[in-house]
Amino acid sequence: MQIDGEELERILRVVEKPIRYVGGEWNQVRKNHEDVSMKVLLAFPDTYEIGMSHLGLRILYHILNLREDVACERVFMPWVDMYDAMRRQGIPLYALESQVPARDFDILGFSLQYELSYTNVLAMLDLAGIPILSAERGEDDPIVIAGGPCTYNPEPVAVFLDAILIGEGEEAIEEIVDVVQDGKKSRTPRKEVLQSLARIRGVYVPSFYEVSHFPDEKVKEIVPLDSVAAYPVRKRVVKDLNKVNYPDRFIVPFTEIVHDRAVLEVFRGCTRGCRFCQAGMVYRPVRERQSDELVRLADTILDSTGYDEISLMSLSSADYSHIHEVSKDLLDRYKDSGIGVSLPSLRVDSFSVGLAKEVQKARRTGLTFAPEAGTQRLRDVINKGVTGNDLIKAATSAFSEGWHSLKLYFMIGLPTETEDDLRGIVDLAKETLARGRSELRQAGIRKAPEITVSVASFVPKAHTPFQWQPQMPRDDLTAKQDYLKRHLRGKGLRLTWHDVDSSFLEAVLSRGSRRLGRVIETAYRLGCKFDAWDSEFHFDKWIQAFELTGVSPGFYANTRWEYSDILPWDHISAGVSKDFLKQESELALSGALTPDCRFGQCSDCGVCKTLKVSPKILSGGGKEVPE
Amino acid sequence: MSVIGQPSHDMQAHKVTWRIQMTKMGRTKYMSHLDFIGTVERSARRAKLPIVLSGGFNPRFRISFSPALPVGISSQSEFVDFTLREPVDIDEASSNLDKCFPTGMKVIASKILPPNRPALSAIIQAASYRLDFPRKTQEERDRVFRAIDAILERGSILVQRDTAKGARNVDIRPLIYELQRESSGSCESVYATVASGSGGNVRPFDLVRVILEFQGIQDNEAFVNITREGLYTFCDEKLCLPW
Repeated sequence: MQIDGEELERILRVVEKPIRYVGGEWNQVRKNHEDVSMKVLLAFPDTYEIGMSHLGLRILYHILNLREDVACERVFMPWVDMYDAMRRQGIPLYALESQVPARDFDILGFSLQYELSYTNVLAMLDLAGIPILSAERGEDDPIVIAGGPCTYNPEPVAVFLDAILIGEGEEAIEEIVDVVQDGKKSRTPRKEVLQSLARIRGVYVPSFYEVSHFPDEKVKEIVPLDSVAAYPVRKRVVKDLNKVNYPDRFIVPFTEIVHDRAVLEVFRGCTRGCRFCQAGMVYRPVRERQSDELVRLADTILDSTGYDEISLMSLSSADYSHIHEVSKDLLDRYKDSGIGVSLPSLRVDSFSVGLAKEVQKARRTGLTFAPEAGTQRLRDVINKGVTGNDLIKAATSAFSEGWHSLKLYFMIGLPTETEDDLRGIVDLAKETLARGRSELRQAGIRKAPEITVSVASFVPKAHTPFQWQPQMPRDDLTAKQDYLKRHLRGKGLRLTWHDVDSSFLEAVLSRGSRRLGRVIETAYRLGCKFDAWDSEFHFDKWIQAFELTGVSPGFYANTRWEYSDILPWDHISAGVSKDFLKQESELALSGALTPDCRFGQCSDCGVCKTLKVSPKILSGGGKEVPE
Repeated sequence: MSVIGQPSHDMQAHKVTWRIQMTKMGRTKYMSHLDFIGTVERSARRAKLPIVLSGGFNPRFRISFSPALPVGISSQSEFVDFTLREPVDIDEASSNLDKCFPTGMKVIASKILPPNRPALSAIIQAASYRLDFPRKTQEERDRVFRAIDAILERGSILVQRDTAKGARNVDIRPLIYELQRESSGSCESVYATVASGSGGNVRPFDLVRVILEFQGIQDNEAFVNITREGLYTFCDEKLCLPW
């Protein structure tokens, strides 16, 4: 059953960081396969260091391993050297815990976090010896499923997956396991198992839908082929985070990973309503965890892991109703033990700087603000409720508190952007820097301030108000980057940017239809994998793949779509209504703001009504919502 | 609750050094030295050892380690020093640490050191390794034996090292103190005691390459298992463990 240990050893001694491929970490769950009736393998299509930093994987691992009848294990995409060595030696993709080949599992579940990991999904299936196409899998192959934010437009990868869970997995994963388990016990044919899976709320079985296209690539029709196929498939959502299990025995990797600390999810969802942001739309509504529960979890997790840092994670942690109390409580508890608290994703305001100051008393890292756009006009278009004044005030207090290095995130190529908006980025960065100089001088700090401006290119995403908007042509984006490179130079200024070609591919895949499946497969056959890694990204091969398949990438990335168009993801619902998205899209063009429903009135996005949920905001927060 | 450690300032007076000898076997041999440090730190935190924290913005445990072991080499003899706020019952502390170590890591022996003993990095001068050469035939066995004899007869053996200033040849022969051979199961084992530390160093992978070359084998992908068996310091011209 297990792969050949000696063969494995032989290649482990020649690859980089072999510790990534052996499992055995503290808190790993290793069950005897003879003792369970279901074997689930969670697969992350990127390196160990990235995959292990992902909270969703850890939540599902924990929940499934709580079940006595299930063994849940992990596998990551082997880095290029290991991948080639495994191919050469004939070692198939294997699970870290048991070293059993991936193809011997009952369920193989991929986490789809970003579009540029799609070719890695194919590479992993191929290395596992599992047919890449769902249609070619047989009765003995695992059921290949997927989840994660990319599944809000699952179409580009639809042909590779047997079933896709839309939305949150805590509850649905158990229902999926039950169905596959029943099917296995009664030797039900694969197709019938897929039918039972399609009956689970939130589960999308692509083979039960037929998609046709007009000659210009537009989707003509999406037709359910089976009576079990829901239209639309509505996302799963956990009503109350306090009622689902949260991992309290985090696996502690042997080697440093990207987020190498204990993670506490303080709330899920964000209703700030930035119009480009997919996470802000698809993870609605906001659901906060009880603060006493957070403190209890923090104790347990730190105890079971030995981590010296705990991160209070969410899409906007300063928005948590009791953020001040909870972070202070944790700091007090651990102040003598050298354990730090960290707060990612802070807002652009002085309150956030104050929080950062408190938690970073011990370990002072940099501070990052995300004004996203350079002028008030454009910030209103994207509904980023932040003013230039907010930024200057936040930066000023950061400098006066002793930070000397700030990072500012912006996006270029946003709808309606003009040269004024680009100039706005330059002006804001320079003003912040000037403020830093005078504040640091006043405080008697000799260090020179540093501003790093980081610009990403706008990528339209499914289920956002900007889903109909084109990405700017590559040449225009390059010209904008050049403008910023010319103007953001000098002492104390630094500029980083994203590769335009990979942002273009991301846009193609994020709005892609089912026709993209052929393209991804062709690109993989041409040798593409690890596309999210600059060193491994081969745009020329992708261009070749588009040519070979006759699919026009420009249609998906660079054309404006009509409200009346059938979108490739029209059969998938995140609960937010299309009418709301259209309305937001119109409000954007007139620069009108929509307030956060946490603090103001309901914006009628539709998620609560459609999914029968409500925001869970603790008392003392923006508003109270009774049970 | 996991409160471990107290501010170091008021505890300086009573601090003690607890030195352990431990294994790094099985899959943990694939950890880099940096990984090993992190894993020992987290294990010690789980075991709630009363370790002194360093001061400053980034408080860290006061732990120090014997010289780095290359990735892929097992060890029966790594040494780690913990600076503790107070004396501990070493059997209890070892057993607590063992319970919190991942499989493959285990305390073999430990001792509370008398005050002001020099750091591990300053005293380690030699290391012994067991090199297991797999063999299938009598001829392979004889080849290993002949290579050992030939090495011992040589007055100098040059090994190329890449440094910042370019490649340079180092004579490792004077740094090889002992080579012994032993047959067992399907392996020819060579026990080598060599210089290790700042005063002169023989890398185990270099040693393997030399032995293979003396057998006339150029294949550096040959499957040789290496285990660090001991780390030593010189006491009265004799090698002894750093206790």
